[in-house]
Amino acid sequence: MNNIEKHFAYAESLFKEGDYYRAITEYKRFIFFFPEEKKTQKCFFRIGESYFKAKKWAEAVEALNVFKAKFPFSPMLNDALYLKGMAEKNLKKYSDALSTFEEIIKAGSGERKNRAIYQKALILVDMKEWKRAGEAFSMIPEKSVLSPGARIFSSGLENIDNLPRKSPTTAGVLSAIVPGTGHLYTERPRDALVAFLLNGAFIWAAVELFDDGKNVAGGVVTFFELGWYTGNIYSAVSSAHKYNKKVEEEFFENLRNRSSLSYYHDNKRSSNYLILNMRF
Amino acid sequence: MQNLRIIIILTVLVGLGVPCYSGNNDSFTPWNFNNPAPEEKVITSPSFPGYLLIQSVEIFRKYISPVDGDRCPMYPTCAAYSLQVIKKHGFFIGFVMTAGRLIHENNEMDDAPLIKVGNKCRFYDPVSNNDFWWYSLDNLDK
Repeated sequence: MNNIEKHFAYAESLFKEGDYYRAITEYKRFIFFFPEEKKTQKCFFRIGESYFKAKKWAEAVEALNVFKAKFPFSPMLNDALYLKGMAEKNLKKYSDALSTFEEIIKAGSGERKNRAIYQKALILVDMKEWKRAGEAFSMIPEKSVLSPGARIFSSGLENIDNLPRKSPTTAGVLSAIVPGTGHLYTERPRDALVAFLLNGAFIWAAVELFDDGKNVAGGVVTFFELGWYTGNIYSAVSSAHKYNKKVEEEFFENLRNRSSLSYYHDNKRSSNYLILNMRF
Repeated sequence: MQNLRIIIILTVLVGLGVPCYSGNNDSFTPWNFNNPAPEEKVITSPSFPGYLLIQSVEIFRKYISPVDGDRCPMYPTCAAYSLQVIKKHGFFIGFVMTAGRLIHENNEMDDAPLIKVGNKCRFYDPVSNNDFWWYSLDNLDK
């Protein structure tokens, strides 16, 4: 093993150990000292991958953009784009992530393309574009290993409108009439009690102060009461949205769990597989 | 006698509100990146009332909170949340959302994830958790 290979091997060992911060330094050192080496391409890729694995999403996108600009015809380009799309998804830059996965879909084929379609569909789920998400899931061919999961999502999305939701308008109106009742409606009894007591106390104080002719003090208390009152309505409406979000998240978590264990039949080999996908 | 009753009422009201606030906003950045978290980005420059409100919260954090103690179980703390939301949405919405945070923190602890901030565990309830339904995808997607 010569000196160049040793440098690279050291960076790789840091990467494998999960010491991404130091691995990036070593990959950069390699690029600096051996810019003409073929392995610099992999170093640029690994820098992006290291940021990705370290969950530094913005830095990962930046590094993978550098890779894409420097090596537009690299065989690692699709993998780099996939990581970039995932990083953008994690940053909630959904339109960027969609166009990145679209690039893979246009240029790629086979499972790479299917993986990109699957991720695109999951992004559309996050964007609450149920119809487009369902269409994207249905684009995954039956022969793909992702097909069973995609079918579960696709059929689940057909029932999305039947979830038990709370109306934000009802929550807001209830809290406007009697502070706290909107929170009761959204199943937040302790918040309801706080909202009722705070508003009740401030209204009572304001009335007492105005009755006693303490108009300035009454005005100050009324100003704060307006804050509590509007805050109570805002919080009730927000609670309804949070309730609906939670219901949807649980629904999709359930779909994800169901799609993580799937059955697959390989026609070429005439074999049956039970596939367990795990996040780690 | 009448004045005494007013003083008692005002004391009770201040007592109801003050414990909800808390002190400094701890942060931990292992790789020491300079990029601020999205929540900390100032999106709007505050108006004059917004500026006054920010200064009031700052005075509270600097002088009252150290004496009153760290009572807020949430992250960001209610005072830090208030500053973030006023800087993000301006005076009026900032004021309303701050009141909303003080009202909703009890039940929020049932669902909010626990995170370790410094040497304390807190319930994570960022601004985006409370404005996502009207200030969401289009704005985050930039």
